[in-house]
Amino acid sequence: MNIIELIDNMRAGKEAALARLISLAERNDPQLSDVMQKIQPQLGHAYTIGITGPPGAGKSSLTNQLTQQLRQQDYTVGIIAIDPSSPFTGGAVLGDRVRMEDHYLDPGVFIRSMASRGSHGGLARAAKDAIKILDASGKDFILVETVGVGQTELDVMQTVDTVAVVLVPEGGDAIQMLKAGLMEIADLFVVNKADRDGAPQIVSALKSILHLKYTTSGNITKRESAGDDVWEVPVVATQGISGEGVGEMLARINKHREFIQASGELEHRRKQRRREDLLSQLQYLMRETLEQACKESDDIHTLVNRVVAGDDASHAVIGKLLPLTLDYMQNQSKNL
Amino acid sequence: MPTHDTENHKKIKREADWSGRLRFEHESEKNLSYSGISLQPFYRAEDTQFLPLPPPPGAYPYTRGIHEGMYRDRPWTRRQYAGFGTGEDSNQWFKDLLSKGQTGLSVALDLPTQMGLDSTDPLGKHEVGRVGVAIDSLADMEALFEGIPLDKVSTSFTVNGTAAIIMAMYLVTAEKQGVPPEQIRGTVQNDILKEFVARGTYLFPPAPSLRIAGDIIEYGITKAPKFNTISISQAHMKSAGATLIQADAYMFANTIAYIEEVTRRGYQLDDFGQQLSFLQCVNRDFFESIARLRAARRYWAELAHNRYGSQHDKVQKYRIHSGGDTDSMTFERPYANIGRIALTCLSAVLGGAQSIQLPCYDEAYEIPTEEAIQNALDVQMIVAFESGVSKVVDPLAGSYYVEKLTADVLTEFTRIVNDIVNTGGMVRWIEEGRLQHKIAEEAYQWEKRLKTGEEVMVAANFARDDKPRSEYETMMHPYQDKTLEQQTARIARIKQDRDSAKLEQALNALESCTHKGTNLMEPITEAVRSYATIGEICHTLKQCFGHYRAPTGV
Amino acid sequence: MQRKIRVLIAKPGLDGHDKGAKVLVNVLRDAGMEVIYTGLHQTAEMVARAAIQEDVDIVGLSYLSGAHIGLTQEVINALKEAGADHMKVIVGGNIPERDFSQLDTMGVAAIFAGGSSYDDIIGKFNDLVAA
Repeated sequence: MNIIELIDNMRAGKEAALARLISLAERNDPQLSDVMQKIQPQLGHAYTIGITGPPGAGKSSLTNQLTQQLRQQDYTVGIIAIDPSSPFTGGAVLGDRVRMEDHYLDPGVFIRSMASRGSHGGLARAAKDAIKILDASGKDFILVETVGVGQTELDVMQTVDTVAVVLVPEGGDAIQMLKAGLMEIADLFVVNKADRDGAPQIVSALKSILHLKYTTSGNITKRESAGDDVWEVPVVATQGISGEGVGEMLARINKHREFIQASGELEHRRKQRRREDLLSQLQYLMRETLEQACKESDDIHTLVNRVVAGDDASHAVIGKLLPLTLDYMQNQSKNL
Repeated sequence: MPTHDTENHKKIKREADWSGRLRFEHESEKNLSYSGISLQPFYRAEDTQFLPLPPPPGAYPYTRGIHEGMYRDRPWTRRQYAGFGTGEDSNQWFKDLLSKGQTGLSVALDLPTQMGLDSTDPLGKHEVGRVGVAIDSLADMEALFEGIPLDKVSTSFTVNGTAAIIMAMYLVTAEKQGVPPEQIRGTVQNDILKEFVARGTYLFPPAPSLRIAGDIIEYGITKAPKFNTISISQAHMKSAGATLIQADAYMFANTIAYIEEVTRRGYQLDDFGQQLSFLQCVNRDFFESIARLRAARRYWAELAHNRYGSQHDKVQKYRIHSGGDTDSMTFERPYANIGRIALTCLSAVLGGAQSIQLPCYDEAYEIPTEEAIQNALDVQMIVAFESGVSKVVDPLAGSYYVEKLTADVLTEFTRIVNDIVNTGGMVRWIEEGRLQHKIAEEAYQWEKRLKTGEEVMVAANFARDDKPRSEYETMMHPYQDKTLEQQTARIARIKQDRDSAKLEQALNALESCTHKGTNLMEPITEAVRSYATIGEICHTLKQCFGHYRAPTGV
Repeated sequence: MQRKIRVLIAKPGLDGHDKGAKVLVNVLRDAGMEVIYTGLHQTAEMVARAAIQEDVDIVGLSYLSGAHIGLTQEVINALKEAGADHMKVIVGGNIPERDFSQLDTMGVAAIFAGGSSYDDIIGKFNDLVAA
């Protein structure tokens, strides 16, 4: 099937076509650039929500419950659930679907599991493209679920409109998350499994840390401090299994949406993001080409090896290396 | 001997198709019991000198047996698992088994019955009457026990998610025979927590599921005091992949959850402790099996006494229903399984079990044939009446090895159970998928050891031959498509005959008790009496408790 | 990037014994595949929809209760109906040999009865996707 047909079928609601297009993104298929260009005019309808947090925080259950709420309001939902690949075998068990079984047969919900497939930003790019494809398919909301541990996952979270960071009362998690840099990307915090011991304590601890952030000058790390308005990151308590608190979670997400829309931040962020996307794709491609150049060009290989062996300082070879690599890239780009 | 061994070893090495290494080529395996307890090449008096030697059989903490005379006074109960098709089909079979020396019935229910679905439900379309008998309403239970005197026979039901309904149906059937519930002996498995990690026949989330299990136990205290209202099971968690000792410990952690579900309602363990029974399988490692049963008796006695203040010796006595598990049977050369069955039986007897149910040699393939069931019963009778092992109680007591192993197993139980209890307890472990993950991981490790030949299963990964499977396939129980038709017709009939006003009233009462949080057994019994189907009752419950999907652990 | 094999492992029907399915999930992961496990008690429609959304190469169905004939036919029909008959359907678990030919006729790509070697399964999966 050619891509025009695929895209038409996707727009007509055929899930197999939507799924296949996401696969093209996942495999970085040669036809992908065509696909992305063709769907470009259809982008921008969906609102994207990221849900991240440590393993076992109950993200899938929350995603499931959020989907429930959105479906009750007749919104269509696309879900991307990202699980890590094994660093040793490259394989992965993608297990989040099980928690979303309520929606298996709902035609308004499309669930796709993705594996992180190693580093180098491969997943981040594939996930961003998958989000766009889901957007082009006409979904109203896209929920992206990741285990918030690596740079890749952080990259994915940078591309959504609202980020919910999920924590649980159990000791240590909150601190781990702060260390992992999740504090900085949260638009709202969710303390899940709020029926457990220690939940009120972590809610109030988070609130006081956040309060400190807003009152300490120069320490406002939130991105959307547009104009004089500051989005004060709320903390919501939920129970993913029963669904308690999820209504409030959604309400806060919608508030955040209104806030960044009204302040112009949403548009600003989306523009920023397109620029970021472009540059990071370019960077990714250049890096791949560089790696290839090191292998294939004898001249480049020799120079690089002198630095690797410790014989030359990197500064000394760059002058020679730069024109060689640029030449190499130019030749390669003819093949693109 | 050594020459022979070497020769044999070489031969097997050529034949084995995976790797064929002898088990003991792996130093680590030689020095570990099946479940991972460190072993010595031999044991000496010094190894047991600091251990408290167990008091004689019949004395607390009952390490050596719960009765002074054990099998000298009373042989163990011999059961085999049976049931298929309609109530009538199984009824005939039961009567047969009772006439052939079986002393209790063990009823297999089909999957729709275990999952709370009527035979007419499309979800269970291919499963009606397949792995057990189909029960949709009281009418089926009546047919199942027609002509079987329920005051004489004790019946065990392997049922969990729908245990309350099946127990109510059984008691009402007895009542119709004129036998009051106080006289009824029998068992419902009712061990719902392990269903979340093995077997999967749960209907609701863990918390309301535990509540219903508690309702059954609570109801039994006054209404059916001779009925075992729960049979807490280790075997299924073993089958799902846990080691035997892990599975034992998980069983005790589940036990704690059940006890505390009832004691929080104001009861003491002594009020219902005699109605708890335990299903603990033996398997593979002969001495570890014996040590596990001995250690379990002591663990339970001390748990009951120390943690729950039990004063009643009958409660502190841990009654074991034992047997092997199907997973240790091989598809290949099924008659080799008879050897496994005999060893299983012997280790359960030497461990002091109260009742034994053996797997059958064809069980790796099918619900066992009648021939295979008879064979398993024969094995039991040979051990009981020919081997002479029943003549002396706990004959292995005082063996340096067995006593030391018993003590080591006990230490493991304590460690694992405390770990679970101290980190939130079983319900939390299940909700978070921790137990599922541990069991799935253990199952994977076991498969890896089988693949490398570190662990041996004769005929499967060792001394294997290349005969096609069909050579081994035994006669099966033909699946009867007509069961679905018959059940469908019967459901239609009862729906026509029953008093719909009475039914509606019963289901409304059930719904209101569900919301109020009061004991559900009475309203379920009323619904059963008015010929509500199992699907109708479960639908009513599900509306309040909701649907649940446990984490898989992978 | 090397083409990743994506597999859906499913438990259709009411049978709740999924040790074998879970072990296989781990085995395939360690063979470098991406594996989605559906969990228990799936209807044919649920299996087909998951397979399509995940755009898997192989759909593995695991059975122990003996209901494999009827349920497999339903899954194959559901896949066909959704236009995904290119996906390879594999059946495993407690499958007696006398049922093999019937499953073959339905279009099942491979059958792995109990006791099959995992290396064979991995090899077959690779072959099926390469073909």
